Amino acid sequence: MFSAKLNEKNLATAVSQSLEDEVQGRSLWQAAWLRFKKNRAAMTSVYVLGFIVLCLVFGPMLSQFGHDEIDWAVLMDPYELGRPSIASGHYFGTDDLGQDLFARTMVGGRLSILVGFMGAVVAVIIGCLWGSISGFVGGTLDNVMMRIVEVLDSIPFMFMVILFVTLFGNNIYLIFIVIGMVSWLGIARVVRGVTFSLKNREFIEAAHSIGVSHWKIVLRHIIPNVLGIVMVYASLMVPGFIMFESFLSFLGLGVQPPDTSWGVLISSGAKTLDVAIWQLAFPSLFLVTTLFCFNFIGDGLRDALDPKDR
Amino acid sequence: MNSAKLLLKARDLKVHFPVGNSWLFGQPKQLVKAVDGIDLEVYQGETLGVVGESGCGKSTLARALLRLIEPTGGTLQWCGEDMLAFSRKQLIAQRRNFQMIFQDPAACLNPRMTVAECIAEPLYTHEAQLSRKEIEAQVIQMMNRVGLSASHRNRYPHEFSGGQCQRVGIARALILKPQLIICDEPVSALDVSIQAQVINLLKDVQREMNLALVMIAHDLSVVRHISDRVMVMYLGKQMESGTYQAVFDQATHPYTKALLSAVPIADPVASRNRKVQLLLGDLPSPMNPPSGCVFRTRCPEVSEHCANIDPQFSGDISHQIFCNNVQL
Ligand SMILES: Nc1ncnc2c1ncn2[C@@H]1O[C@H](COP(=O)(O)OP(=O)(O)O)[C@@H](O)[C@H]1O
Ligand code: SF4
Ligand SMILES: [Mg+2]
Repeated sequence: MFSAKLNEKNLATAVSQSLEDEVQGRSLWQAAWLRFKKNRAAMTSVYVLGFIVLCLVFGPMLSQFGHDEIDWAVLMDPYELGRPSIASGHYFGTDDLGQDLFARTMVGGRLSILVGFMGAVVAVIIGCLWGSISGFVGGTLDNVMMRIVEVLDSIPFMFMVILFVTLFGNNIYLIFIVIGMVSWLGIARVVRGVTFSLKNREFIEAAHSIGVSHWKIVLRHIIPNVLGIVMVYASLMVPGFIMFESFLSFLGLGVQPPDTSWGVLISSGAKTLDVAIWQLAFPSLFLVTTLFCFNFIGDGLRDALDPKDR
Repeated sequence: MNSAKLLLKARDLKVHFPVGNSWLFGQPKQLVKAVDGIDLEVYQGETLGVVGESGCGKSTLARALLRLIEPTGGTLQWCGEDMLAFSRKQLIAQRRNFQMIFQDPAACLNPRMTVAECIAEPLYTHEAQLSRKEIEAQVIQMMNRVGLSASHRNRYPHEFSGGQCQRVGIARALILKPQLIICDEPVSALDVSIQAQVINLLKDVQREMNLALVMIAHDLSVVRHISDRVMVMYLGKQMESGTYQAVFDQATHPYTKALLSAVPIADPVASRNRKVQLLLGDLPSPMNPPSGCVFRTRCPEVSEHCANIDPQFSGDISHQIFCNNVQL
């Protein structure tokens, strides 16, 4: 009988034999990473983005001024004395209130990037679970779950934001909540679609035939296989969230002073475009560079994860 | 054969798929009768061959026998127990006793999992108490058994050939030491040279483990030398069934004869002398199958009443056919 063969000695020799000449496979993830590394634009973007993040984290330490500190000396004539200069310690100049723009750009960038990542993380977690369950279970549940997505998607979010602001006052968590609410809808749709096509694949059926529970099938088989598409989608969504936050701030619905974000800085800089171009230039430079980086990285991920589609 | 334990027994098994979005347009719901009244038994340690053209419902039958698709009619028994009455929990627990091997070896493995993880998945599911070491040891042993180098266990399915992937699929099906494996065209996606190796591997493990096999194929040549009993299907219905000798040597049903005459034979004299009976036309749509005998649109021995009367059963325990004009 077969089971008789499965004795200790056999196992021991089998294990020791196989340990001698291990062959490490290359997973689809690893292969994708190798392709990604060959993509110049994407890799450059990774480095640039890394540099920006380092700046945002450590930059304020290099500044002689706090981001909400008013330099009274400059306040007399911010358009002359507030020019960018190494000597005055205002590397990026100051704004109308004499606040150091270098510090403000760094601190504001933290918020902008945080909002972008937050949106992506919320989108990936909720969107993946929601979409894969909806697509996997199908039937009535799928119908209900997708109608919920559509209803949420049809709510005019500016209206909701204004409503929230009047109800709960203006604070930064509100932005997080609002972005969290919108962000996962698109991913949920994408994931549901992919799950629908995955669930009739034979390896899912094989998992059923083994007796794997539905929950494990979703976690072990469906989600790893949609994650590639989701990563591409999410990385392309990050710039959208950053823009969305900027937009809210531009309308005065975002963060409140003395806190700041790139959107706030750009919106106030735009007002003094003709007299103090630096107030617009530096935050915009950072924002635009970051957006470009995310877009290149997203494109790189797409090419790397799905080489057929190029 | 009959002294062996009866594992699986199906009576009048039916799988009808509703098609069309009828709730919206109010059309009468159409049914695809993919499997329409199949009787079969599988005994411990034997091989049952199931043969039929593509689209005749073999895969649907295989899935219905394991309740991967819910049968819409008939009864199904596993070791004497009513399988259709199993609760979800019971069914999952029982799944370790019956496994399946799939037609497309590459597609039946998760591309994001190493082959070791693929093979170990049944253990994770049913033997959760095993340590990682024990699982690894069993995986290695099983890979060696099915002819895969265990040193490749951390590779991914896309790094393997079709034949190797099918061996992985076999290892996965075997690792829980089931009593029954249903093989849905296990070799039809493989090169001819690999087919024999895979079939021989299945035969070997069957002998070692006293395993019952249901071997599904779209032509008779694959099931020819390995089946103890054979069932011939056409459009969801049983045409002829019986022991290997009965079906191959005394084929009686017009459809079986036609299938047999399409199988190449090695003996040139016999090959030259035999009367080739080619089937004309295509498989009719299972959505509106011909009345009476479903085979009548292509049957060489058709007569008028075949359109009106269902084919008559004739035969005994070792050989059964369903036909109006030919009787045993
Ligand atoms: N889920 C389904 N819904 C509707 N029709 C189906 C479904 N699955 C299979 N069929 C139909 O049932 C018939 C039998 O299919 P199948 O069992 O795959 O045949 P085989 O495996 O013998 O080639 C085919 O006509 C197919 O179109
Ligand atoms: S019943 Fe009639 S049509 Fe059907 S197989 Fe027999 S002879 Fe042919
Ligand atoms: Mg099939």
